[in-house]
Amino acid sequence: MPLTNELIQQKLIDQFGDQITEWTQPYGMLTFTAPKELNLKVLQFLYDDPELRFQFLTDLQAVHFPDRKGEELMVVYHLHNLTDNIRIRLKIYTDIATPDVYSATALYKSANFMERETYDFFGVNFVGHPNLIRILNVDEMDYFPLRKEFPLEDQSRTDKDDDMFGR
Amino acid sequence: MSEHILLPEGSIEKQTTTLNLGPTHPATHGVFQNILELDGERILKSTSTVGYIHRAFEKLAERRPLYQITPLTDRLNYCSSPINNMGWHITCEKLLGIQLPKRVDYLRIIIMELSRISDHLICNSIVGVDSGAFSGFLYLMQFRELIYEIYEEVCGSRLTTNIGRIGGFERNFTETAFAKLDQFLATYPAQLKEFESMFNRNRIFMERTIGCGPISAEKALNYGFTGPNLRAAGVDYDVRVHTPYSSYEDFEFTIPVGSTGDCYDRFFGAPTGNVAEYQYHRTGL
Repeated sequence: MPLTNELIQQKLIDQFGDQITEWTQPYGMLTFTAPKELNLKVLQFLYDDPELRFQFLTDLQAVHFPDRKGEELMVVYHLHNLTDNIRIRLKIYTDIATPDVYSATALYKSANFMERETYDFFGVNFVGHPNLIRILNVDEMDYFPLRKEFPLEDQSRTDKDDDMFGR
Repeated sequence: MSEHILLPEGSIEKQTTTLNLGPTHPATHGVFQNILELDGERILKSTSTVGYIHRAFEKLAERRPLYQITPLTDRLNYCSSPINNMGWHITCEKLLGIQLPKRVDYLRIIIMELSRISDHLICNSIVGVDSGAFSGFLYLMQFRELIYEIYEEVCGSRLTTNIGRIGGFERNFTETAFAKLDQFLATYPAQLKEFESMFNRNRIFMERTIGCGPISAEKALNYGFTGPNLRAAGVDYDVRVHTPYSSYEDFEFTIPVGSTGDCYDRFFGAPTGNVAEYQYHRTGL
């Protein structure tokens, strides 16, 4: 039987019950949310299950939602089953004050650099990462630059009249 | 006393050598540094610094309108910037729900395949330079020049192209662009053959690349390899075949797959001979 989004959803519900929430399928890609303590268990299940076989971690990054109190940071795992060619997305939310998330480096070697990058730009603390230091920014940096607390100037503002730059 | 540089604790007693390799510049952008732990000539351990090369495209993209992001995507890989442009266009079109005419898809495929060729030309001819044969590089670079002239005819620029628009192209391809494309297709295959006969069974090249840096398919997947490097390790996956975009499903082409993942397989995994020619003829543009 070919692997479908519904089958994946059913298998995850059988295994984890109602702990996995927010089932959506934007543009056909199954997306769901797990509690952050369960992220490794879900990833391991998706990896090991003989039918699911999500063994390729395409991408891992974070998103900052300043307005969601208590779950300001979201970590997203993009997984790919190369055999059946199905992609899914796993999201977990974490509090920005204690952004501790279990590291997936034991499961995916590729998570090493991606988690370092996520730490570098969003300050997610991946517990169990072998070498969680900054990767693209200078070591001395003491803030996380891609968080939303650093807004860029609104390009459509009209109150500035600058002859030199034509605004 | 404290003016002297102090050696790290235990450096005298240990049996290995620490060597600082770099910072070098792989293709001049950014720096890449490796601190190696050597036992004679064998590398036991390497600590890599990939370099301070982040240019905050994500941050810029938070504020700017969609069409102002396209020039940024040029810079993601300047050897094949049109593909990056197309990737951005196709993403935006998907988000906006735009349906494109077939002609746009096919014109895009021509541009994308050309840039794929020009990218692989760089990879494969530079391997030649690195293993001591400069002439192969010079043979192929003139064809990159031809490809750049086609870009120039289509969009006005060569390296960072900003080609196309969300929803199509800025204008139709000119007659000159098609003429240059014909010229490219007429001359390139023969030159490529010459390049291949110089390298493929060349004793020096084979000895330097076979068994050099091999990786198993399982390991390559776990490390997140993609594209030609993943195929060189023996994983038969190509996104153009498995998840076709821009009407790739209308075309047939062969994808080389390796077995050991060493440099020699990767050399063949990045095919310099390519599908663009009969795609071009089949579309009958």
